[in-house]
Formats: sequence, C-alpha cells, structure tokens
Amino acid sequence: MSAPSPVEISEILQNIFSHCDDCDMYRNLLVCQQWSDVGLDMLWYKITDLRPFLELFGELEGKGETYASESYIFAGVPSFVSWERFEKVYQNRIRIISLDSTDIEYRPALSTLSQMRSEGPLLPKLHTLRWYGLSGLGLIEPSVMFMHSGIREFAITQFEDDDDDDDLEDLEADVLVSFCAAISARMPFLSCLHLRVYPLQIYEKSVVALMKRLPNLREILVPPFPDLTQISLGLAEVPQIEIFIISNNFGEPPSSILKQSNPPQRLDLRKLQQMALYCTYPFGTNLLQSISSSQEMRSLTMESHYPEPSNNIRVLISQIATKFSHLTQLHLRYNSHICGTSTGRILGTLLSRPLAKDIIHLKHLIPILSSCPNIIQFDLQSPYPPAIDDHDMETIAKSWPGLEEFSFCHQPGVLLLKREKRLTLKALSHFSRHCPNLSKLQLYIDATSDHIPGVTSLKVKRFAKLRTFNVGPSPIDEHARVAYILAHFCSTETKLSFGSEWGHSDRIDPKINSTWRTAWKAVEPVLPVMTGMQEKIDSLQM
Amino acid sequence: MVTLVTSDNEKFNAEKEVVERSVLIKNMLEDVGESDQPIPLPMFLEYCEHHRGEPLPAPDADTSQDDTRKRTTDISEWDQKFITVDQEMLFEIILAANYLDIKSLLDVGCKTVANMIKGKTPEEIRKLFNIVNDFTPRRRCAQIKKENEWAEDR
Repeated sequence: MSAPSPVEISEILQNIFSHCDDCDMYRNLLVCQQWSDVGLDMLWYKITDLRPFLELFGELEGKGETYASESYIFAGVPSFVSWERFEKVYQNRIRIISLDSTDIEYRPALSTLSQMRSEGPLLPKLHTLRWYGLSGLGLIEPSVMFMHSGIREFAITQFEDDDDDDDLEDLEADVLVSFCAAISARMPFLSCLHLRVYPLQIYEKSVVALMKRLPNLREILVPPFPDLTQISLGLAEVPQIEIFIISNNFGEPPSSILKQSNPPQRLDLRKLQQMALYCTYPFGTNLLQSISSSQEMRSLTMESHYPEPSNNIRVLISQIATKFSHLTQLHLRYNSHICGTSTGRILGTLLSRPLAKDIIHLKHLIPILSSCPNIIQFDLQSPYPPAIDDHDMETIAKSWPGLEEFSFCHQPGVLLLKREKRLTLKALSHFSRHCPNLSKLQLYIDATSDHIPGVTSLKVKRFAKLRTFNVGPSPIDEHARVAYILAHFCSTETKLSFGSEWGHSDRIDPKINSTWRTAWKAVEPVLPVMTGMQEKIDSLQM
Repeated sequence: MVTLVTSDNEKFNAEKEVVERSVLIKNMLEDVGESDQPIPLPMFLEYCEHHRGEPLPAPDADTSQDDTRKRTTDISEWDQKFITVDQEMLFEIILAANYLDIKSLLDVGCKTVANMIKGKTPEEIRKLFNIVNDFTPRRRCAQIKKENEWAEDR
C-alpha cells in the first residue's frame, strides 16, 4: 500500500492552507470534499465582517437610514432550508467574532435572526467575541445574541466619536447594570474581559460586581473611572487575576481622574503577571503599595496623562524595585501627549527650560537597576530629555545584560539644547558591548559635530542583533561623520529611523523638520553601504 | 552522539543537539535513555544541521492562536534551495517532517505547496496533485461556491 499524499492528510492541509490568502482559500474549497471541509474550518474560524455570515440566511438589502450610515435588512424572511444548511455546514466552524463599528449597519438583520433562532447557542463553538465600536444604547442587543457559556474572551468598546460624547454621557446607569448582568449570566466562565466603556463613575459598581461573579477571570480591562476605589477594593476578591489593565479610550480624561478615596490596605494578588495602568503616578504607587510582592509579575506599564515631577518617578520606581524583582518588561510614559494634541504646548521647543523638579537623573533609576536584573524591555517616555550622559548609560547597559528593546525618551516634546548632561553616539559602544541581544534601540542623542566622538576613542563592537535604531528628532549637522561612526556599530540589517512622531507637523520647529531631518535622511542610504565596507575591513583585520 | 538508521539499514552518527530539532527523535531519545540503541531515520540531517542552535517552537505555540492563518509564504534563501526538489521528493520531505515532528521543516514544505497552488483554478490544482473531484452531487460544489464568493474579492 502506498503512503498517502500529504495533500490528503487533514493536519498537513491545514498547514498548507494557513499560508493561503482568502482568494486562494476560496478556490481550495472547490477542489474536493476533503479540501472543502478543511478550508471551510479555516475560512470561517474567525469572522471579521458580518455580511458573509448574514448572507448564509438570505439576500440583504439596504434600507435608507435617517442619519449616519445605511442599514441592512433581509430581502425576504430567512427560510427553514437556509437555517438547516447553516446548522449543518457553518454553525460549528465559527470560533471568533471580531467586529468593528461598521458592522452596526447589520443590526436590523441581526435582530431578525435573533427572533427566529431556536433554543441553544447560535454559535456553540464560539470562544471569543470582540466588538469594537458599539454605540450607546446599541450595546446590548447585538452582542447578547452571541453570548453563551462556552465563551472565554469578551471585549467590547463603546463607540468613540466626539459628536456622540453627549449620548454616551446620557446613558443611564441601568443600561450598563443590565448589560453586566447579561455578561455574567450568559458567559459565566469568561477568563478574559475587556470593558472599554465610557468611564462614568456610576458604572464602576456594576463592573466590580461583574468581576466578582466570574470565578475563572484571569484578565480584566476597565476604563479609568475618576475614582477607582471600588475597583481597587474589588480586586481583593479576584485573587486569581493574572492581568489587570486600566485603559483610556476616550481622549482627555476627566480632571479629577484616578484617585482612591480609601485605598485598600492589602491586596493579595499572587498570580498577577502583568499590569498596564493608565493613571497618575501617585495613584499607581498607592496601588502597588497595597499589592503584595509577587515573583510572577513580569510586565508593568504605567501611563500618565499628566506631568509627573521627578519625585513621583523616584517613589514609583522604588516601589516597583521593592515588589517585583522578576520583572522583565517596564514601560513608563507620562505627559507624552503634549506633543500630540491641539491643547499641547509648542511642539519641539528648543530652548524652554523646565524646572529642575521635572528632570530625571540616573539616581532616580538606580533602585530598579539593582533590584530588577532581568529586564529585557525598557521604555521611558517623558516630556524632557533626562539629565543622563554616556557614562550613566554604561551603568544602565551593564545592569541589564539581557536587554532586547530599549527606548529612552527618544521623542521628548521639549528638546533642551543647552543642558549639562547629554547622550552622544558614544552610548552605542556601551550597549553593543554589554547587551548582546539588543534588537531595538531608541535614543535621543546629540549628534552635532561638537559632540561626535572620535572612533579611536571608542571601544567599538558591532551589534549582533540590532534591527532598529531610532534617533527620533535628534540634532545632527555633519551626516558623513555620523554615518562613519554608525558603520562601526550597525550591521547591514540595522534599519535607521528618525524624525518626530508628533502630530501637528505645522507647529513643529522648522529646524527639527528641515535641517536635522534632511541630515538624517542623508545618513540613511549611505549607512548600509559604509557598514558593508567597514565589515569587510574588519574581517581583513581579523 | 547518537546513531540513526535509515529504513535500508544505513547508519549515521549525529550530535544529539542537532537531531533534537525533531520532537519525535527528542522523545525517542528520552525513551531509550542513555543506552546506545540506534534510532531509525529518514533524510533530514542536512536540514537540522543547518538550523542548529535556532530556538525550537514552544510546545503550546499553536494553542492560543487568534487566527488559523499566517498568510505568508516567504522562505529563506537556504531553505528555498533545500526544498527545490521534484514534487515526489517534496511530498516525501513533508511526510517525514510531519512524522518526525520537525515543525520548521514541515512549514517550509507546506509553504512551498501553498506557493504551488497560488492563483490556480480548482481544476488545475486537481490535475497538479492528481485529486479526484468527489463532490456529489455537483450542485454541492456550486452551493459552497455561492456561500463563499465573498472570499474571492478579499
């Protein structure tokens, strides 16, 4: 008996089809019964558009809507035959539904289906239901019809539209109360729940009650309620939680955001592995203070909308160092929006002098350098460049030999030309010698001629794995000298990035956008050529 | 070192670290323990030698995937050269990689087949791989076609 062909073995077919796009998949479905069966399983595994799903039941027709977008209804009543066909061929293949705000156009058609469906789950194998951009009062009906006890992951985002903010705020508390009740009653075994709803204080109680009713909950995302006391206290009753996220989806937060009128004394969250908190740093510090120290904690992100004096950074970092010695990823960002919003100050101001209390020094970072030796990803984004020089950077590079990604204030909103301490290209030599796994490096450096080090003064070692080197809006004048230095450190696979990532380009200082950008642009094409040549010279000298 | 034996009794010596790219061989080596018992082998040593030292896929890498599809058919230059063989050999490599559980080699083989069917009509695919059109009745195929036409335009 000859061995079967690999294109007759379902698990191998799955692998082959996993490399096909939708168009090829469509043709694969028509080859033979087995290909069709395997292909349908994969094509319908995840639905990102409701239209093909609804068309299984009948033709759709547009119905001129009063405002906003069109909406669709079934041209005729879905037939019994089409239901039977759906149940036989498609019902058990759909595992993930991931939709966005445009799918709300199908609400009338969904509602017809909802009325016709028989008892039992509409999609019994569905384990993940995500709906981004469900507006206002539409929150409930369309998503509830897909809920059942087999669902493990549920994520919902209320419609983010400036014009509709009033509608959102008009929502009455009982809408969310009833929605939360539906979630816990119909999906009691959820392990992941993301509630990106408008952070109205009246919602907080319902969200906390919901958290407590889900015994398998491992991951939760909540909005930044102005007062998070109830949420903090509620965490004490979900000790199994592994991932806790506070995320803001609705632009400017309320001014009184994130306080705790009565912080919990002690939160025993031993399984906590990851936290991403959108909050002021004093709030974050308070919360960390109440959480018992954890060996499991790996990833921490703290993002504050507001300016944070360096003392807040110092206190927060000390707290992190005391509690989470096994941390591998730390992201600290604050007030970085000053570069990106219309209410921000002048973008890329060259000469502003911040108060000394706003500037970060190496001493602020020292506690995590010694207590968290396993860091592989570090990201600090502040509005001003820190007072840190190449020597300080050597201390950081030596402390974290496992670094893979390092981003250090590479997009400061205020560039501060006159300052005592600055980073130069010399910093590269510390990273290339002490951090062999570094693949992404983002620094704001001074690459003007007064500060370019001589190659002979550097301990040069080429990066083995560096793929991204981003200098943001760093100052530069002589591009050839800079390219010559970089050619000693980069590999031919290193990609140079530069320029500001801020919005409102018309308000950026012309020096940043013209002179410096042009100089970095001149380095870009020269660098791989010079690097290639330098690599050859290096190999001849060896 | 471990000794590997092909189906026609040819013996090869290879370093343990190299052949452990195959999950099957890794498990077999654990089963036979420290004894010198030889392990049977089809052709794959060259591939494993080239990919020595690369990280092995995590055991549960596939279980949490959000999507069933990667939609990429990029193959590295070396792998491309290795896999440039006739269809019969390609199929044997895929079957062996599947049996020996060498995920990276299986992926390279499957990507190659995916590239072969790219842009072909169902009839051309049937001819290429000698597959019988077993849709009975034929209207079943027409129905599948109608229900999935949306995918053709994406």
